[in-house]
Amino acid sequence: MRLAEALISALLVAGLYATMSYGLALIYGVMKIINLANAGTMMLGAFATFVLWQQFGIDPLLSVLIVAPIFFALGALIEAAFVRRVAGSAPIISLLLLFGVWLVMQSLASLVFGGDVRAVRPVYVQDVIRVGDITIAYTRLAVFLAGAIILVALELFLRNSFLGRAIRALAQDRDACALSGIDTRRVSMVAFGLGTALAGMAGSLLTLVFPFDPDFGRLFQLKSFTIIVLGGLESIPGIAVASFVLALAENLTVTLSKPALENLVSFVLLVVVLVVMPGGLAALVRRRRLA
Amino acid sequence: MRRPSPAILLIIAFVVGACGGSSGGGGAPAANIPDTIKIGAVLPLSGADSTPGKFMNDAYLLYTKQVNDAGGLEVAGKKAKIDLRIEDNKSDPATSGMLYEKLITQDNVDLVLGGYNTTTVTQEVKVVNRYKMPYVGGGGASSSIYTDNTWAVGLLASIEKLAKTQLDFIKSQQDANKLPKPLKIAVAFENSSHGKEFSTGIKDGETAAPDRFKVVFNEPFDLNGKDYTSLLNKVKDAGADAFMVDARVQDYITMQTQYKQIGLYHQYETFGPRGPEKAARDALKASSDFIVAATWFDSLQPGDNVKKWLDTWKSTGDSPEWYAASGWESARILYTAIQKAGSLDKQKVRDTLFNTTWDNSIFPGGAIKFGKTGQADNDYVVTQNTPDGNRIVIWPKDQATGTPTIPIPKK
Amino acid sequence: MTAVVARAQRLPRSARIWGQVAIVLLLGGAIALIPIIDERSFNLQRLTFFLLWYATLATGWNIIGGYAGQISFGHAAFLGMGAYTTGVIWFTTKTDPLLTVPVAGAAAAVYSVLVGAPTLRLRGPYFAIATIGIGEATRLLAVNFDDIFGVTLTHGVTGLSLPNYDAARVHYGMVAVFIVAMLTTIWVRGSRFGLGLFAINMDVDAAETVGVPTARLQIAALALSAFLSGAAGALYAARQQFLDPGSMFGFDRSIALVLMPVVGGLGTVWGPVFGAVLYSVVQDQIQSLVRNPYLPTLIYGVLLVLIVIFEPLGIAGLLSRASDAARSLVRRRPERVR
Repeated sequence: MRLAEALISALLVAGLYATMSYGLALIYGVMKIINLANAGTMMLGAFATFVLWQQFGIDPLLSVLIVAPIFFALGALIEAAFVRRVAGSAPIISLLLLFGVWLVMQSLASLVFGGDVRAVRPVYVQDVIRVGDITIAYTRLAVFLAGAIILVALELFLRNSFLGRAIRALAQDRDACALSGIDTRRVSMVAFGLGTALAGMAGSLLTLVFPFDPDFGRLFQLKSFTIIVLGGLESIPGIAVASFVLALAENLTVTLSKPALENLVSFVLLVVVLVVMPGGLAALVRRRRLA
Repeated sequence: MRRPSPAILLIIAFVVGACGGSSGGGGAPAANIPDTIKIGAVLPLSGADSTPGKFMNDAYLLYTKQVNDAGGLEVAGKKAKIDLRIEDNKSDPATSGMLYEKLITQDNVDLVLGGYNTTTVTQEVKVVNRYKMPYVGGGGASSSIYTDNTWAVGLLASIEKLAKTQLDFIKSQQDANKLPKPLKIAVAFENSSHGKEFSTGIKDGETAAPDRFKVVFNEPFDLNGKDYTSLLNKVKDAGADAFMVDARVQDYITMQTQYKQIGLYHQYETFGPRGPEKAARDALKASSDFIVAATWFDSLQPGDNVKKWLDTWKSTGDSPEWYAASGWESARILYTAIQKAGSLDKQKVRDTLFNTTWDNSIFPGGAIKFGKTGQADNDYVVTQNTPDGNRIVIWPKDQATGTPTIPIPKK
Repeated sequence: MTAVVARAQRLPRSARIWGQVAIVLLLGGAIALIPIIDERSFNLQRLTFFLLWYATLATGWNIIGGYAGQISFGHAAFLGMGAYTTGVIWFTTKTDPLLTVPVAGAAAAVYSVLVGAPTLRLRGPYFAIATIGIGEATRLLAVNFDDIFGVTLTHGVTGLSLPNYDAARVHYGMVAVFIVAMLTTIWVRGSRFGLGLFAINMDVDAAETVGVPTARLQIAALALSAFLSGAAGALYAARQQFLDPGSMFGFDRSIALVLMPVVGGLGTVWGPVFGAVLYSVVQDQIQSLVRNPYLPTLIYGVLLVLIVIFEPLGIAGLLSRASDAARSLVRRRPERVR
C-alpha cells in the first residue's frame, strides 16, 4: 500500500517537474545555452497567475492559457534584445547575461509585490479524490493532467509542423540548417519564446500546489538541471523518465530517512549522473543497445 | 603603474568618506541629557520574516510617536525627543548583526531595540554584548539566545515553557476523559533552536509522565518548505492521537493545507504559537478551525491595560497580533528604563532593566521581570480557533472565555 | 569573447608586477595602522575590515571565474566551509582562531575539489550548473550535520555562538589574508599557470591540443580560489563570533560573490577590488539611504546585463578605455582593441 502511494505521489510530482524542465531543455537543445532565467520566468508566471486570480478571479488552470502567449512574447523579446547579442560567445557570457536577467526579474517582482510569500487558493484547494485507501489531492491531479496535455501538444507541434521540425533540425545541426535556407535567427527566437512560455505555464500550474515568493524557482532550477542532465540534455522523452526518477528518489529519501534531506537528493543525483554517466539516461540506453 | 592608481583613489575616497561618519563610538556623559535621544533597531522589513517585522516596526513607531507628540521623554527633569532609526536586515541574521554594529559605531545610537527571529536575535545579542549596549528584544524566545548574555533582555518566555503549558492543558483534558491516556503524540518541528526546544519540551513532559504522554514520531523539517506531503505521510503511518508542530506562519499555512489534502485527522492539533494569526485564518479559513495555540499575548486576555492598548492599536488598522504587543512592550520598557535611570549611561540603563519589575504590562500576569539571563518568564495564554474565524481563550482556566472543543470533531 | 580575454591579458603588461606588489603592501600597511593610531576607531575598523573581506572573496572567486572562465554560483559553500572549520575548532578545542586560518583555507580547498572536480572534468556549463546545487547542498549539510552524525558541532540552524575575541588582532589578520590574496592573484596572472588558465578560457580544445592539462589546471584554480574564500570565512568567524547556515551558505551570499568581480572586471587583478569597493559602499551606506531593500539588486542585475553586452571587463575595462582614450589624445594613437 505504502509503495503504491509513493509511486502515485512520485508520478504526480514528476508531471510537474517535466513541465518546468521542458522549456530549459528546448532552449538548450536549439541554442546550446542554459537559460538561468528559467527560475525567474517560473516565478513571474506564478505572480501573473496570482494577479489574474486576485483581480479577476480567473482560475489558475485557465490562466495558463493567458500566461502562455504573454510569456512567449516576453521570451522572444529577451532573445532578440539580449541573448542574440552574445550568441557565439563563450558559455560563461550567456550564463552571466541570463543570470543578470534573472536578478532583474527577481528584484522587479520584489519591488512590485514585496517579499512576502503568496498563495493562490481556489475553493477546491482542499478537495481530494479517494481511490481505495489512497487519497489524491485534486489540485495535484489537475496540475499533472494539465502538464501532460501541454507536453503532448508540444511533442505534436515539434513533430508535425514546419516550424517544429525546423526547431528539431536546429537542435541537431545548426550549420546544416543555415545552409539549407532555414532562418536560424527566427527559429532561435521562436524556440526561446516557447521555452519561456513553458516555464511561465509551469509557474502558473505550480501556484496550485506550492506557495511562492520572488525567490521561488531557485530550488526548482537545480531540479530542472538535474532532470535535463539525467534525461540527456536534448532528449525530450528522456525528460519525462528523468522527472519520474528524481521524484521517486526524493519520495523514498523522505520515507526512508530524514524529510529535511529532500532537497539534497537532486544535487547528489546530479553529481552521481555526471560522474557515472555523463550522457544521462539516453546515453545509457544507447550503450545498452550497442552492446 | 598608471593602471591601478584609480583603485587607490577609490579606496581612499571610501575610507575618507567613512571617516566623516565615525567619531569613535563614545557615549554621552551620564548626567548630560541631549535634546534628542537616538534609538536604533534592525527589523526584517523584507524577506521571509517581513510580516512580524512590519508589525514590530509599526509598534515601535507608534509608541515613539506617542512619546514625541507628548513633547518628548522626560529624563532627569528635561524633555528629550526620540529619534528612532530602523534598518532592514532582509531577514538575514548576518546582515542584522552588521547593521547593529553600524548603528552603534557609525550612527552612535544611545540605546537599541531588538529584532525578530531566534537565530537573528542570537546574532544581535552577540553584537550588543561585544559593544556593551543595552538591548530590549521582543522577537526571540529560545533560551539559547541568552547564554553568556549580560546586556540584552528579552520579553518572550522560553519555548520549553510553551510546550509544557500545552501539556498542562492536555492533562486537564485527560482528567476530564476527553483525551486518551497515554496520549500518542506525533511531533514535527522546524529545524531551528525554536523547534528543537519545542521538541525537547514535549520529550521532557513524556519523561516526567510516561503514563500520560507517548511520543511516537519526532522529526525536524526544513524552514520555508514548499512540500510537506512526504513528511505528513510519515506522520500518517505513525498513528498518533495528537499532532504537535512548531512552525513559522507561512510553513504552518502550507503544512495545514497539505494536512487536509492528505486527509489526516488527530484528536488534538497545535502549531505551537501559531494558529490565531489573521493572515493564517484568512488563508486557511475552516481548515484552521479547532487548532490550539499557546502564545505570549492574546488580545482576548482580560484587564484594563489590554483594553487600553487595543484602543490605541486600532489607529494602525492592523490586527492586534502578539508580535505587535511584544514590540510595543519592548519600546515601553526601554523608554521607561531611561526615565528611571535618569540617564543614558549604558551601565545604569542596563541595571535598571534587569532590576525592575515592569508593571502595567499587557502581557499575561500584568508585569514583566527579566531573569538572571535576561529572559522573561511570563505565563502563556492558550487559545483555540473556533468556526467562522473566531477563537476562545481556554487556558489558564481562570481566564478562559469558552469551553474547549476537545477532541477535535471529525468532519 | 576571445578578444575580451586577449584584452584582459594585455592589461597588466603596462603595470609592472613589482609596482602592483608595492601598492598592495602600502594599502595593507595603511589599513593595518588604523587600530594602532586610534584604538576606538570602531567604525573605520568595521568599514575597512569588510572592504578587505569582500575584496579577498572577490579576488578568490576571480581565479576560477575570471581567469579560468568557470563561473561558480555556489562559492558561499567554500566561504562557509572555512568559517565553520574555524568556528568548530575554536569552539571545541579553544585554539586561537587566527591560527586556524590556514586550516580553514585547506578544508575549503579540499572540499571544493571533492565537489567540483567531477564537473570540471567535463566540457560545457556543467560546473556552473552544479555550483548552484553545491551552495544549497552544503547549507543543508550544515543544518543537518549534527542530526545525521549524532554529534554537536555545527549546532544546525541555531547557529554557532563563539567566544569573544580581540577585534584588533582580527583586523591585522584580515590585512594579512588580503595581502596574500592579492599577491596570489598577481602571481597567477604572470605565471605559466595563469597563462594556461587563460588559454583554457579562450579555447579549451586548442589549449588541450597544445598540451595544456586542462582538467588539472582548472581543479588547481578551483582549489586556490576556495582556499582564499575559506581563509576569508575563518576571519569572519573570528570577527562576528556567530555563524548560522542561512547567512553563511545562502544564495544571496553567492550572488554577491559573482557580482563583485564581474562588475569590477572579470579576469583582471584590480577589477574584483573595484567591485568590492562598490559593493561595500552600496551595501553599507546607500542601502540605508534609499530605504528600499530591492533596488540595489535591481541595479546590479541591470548593470550585469549591460556589462556583459557592452563592456565585459567591467569597471576595470572602463577605466582602461578612459586612460587609453586620454593617452591617444596626447599621443595621437587611435588604436583600440575590442
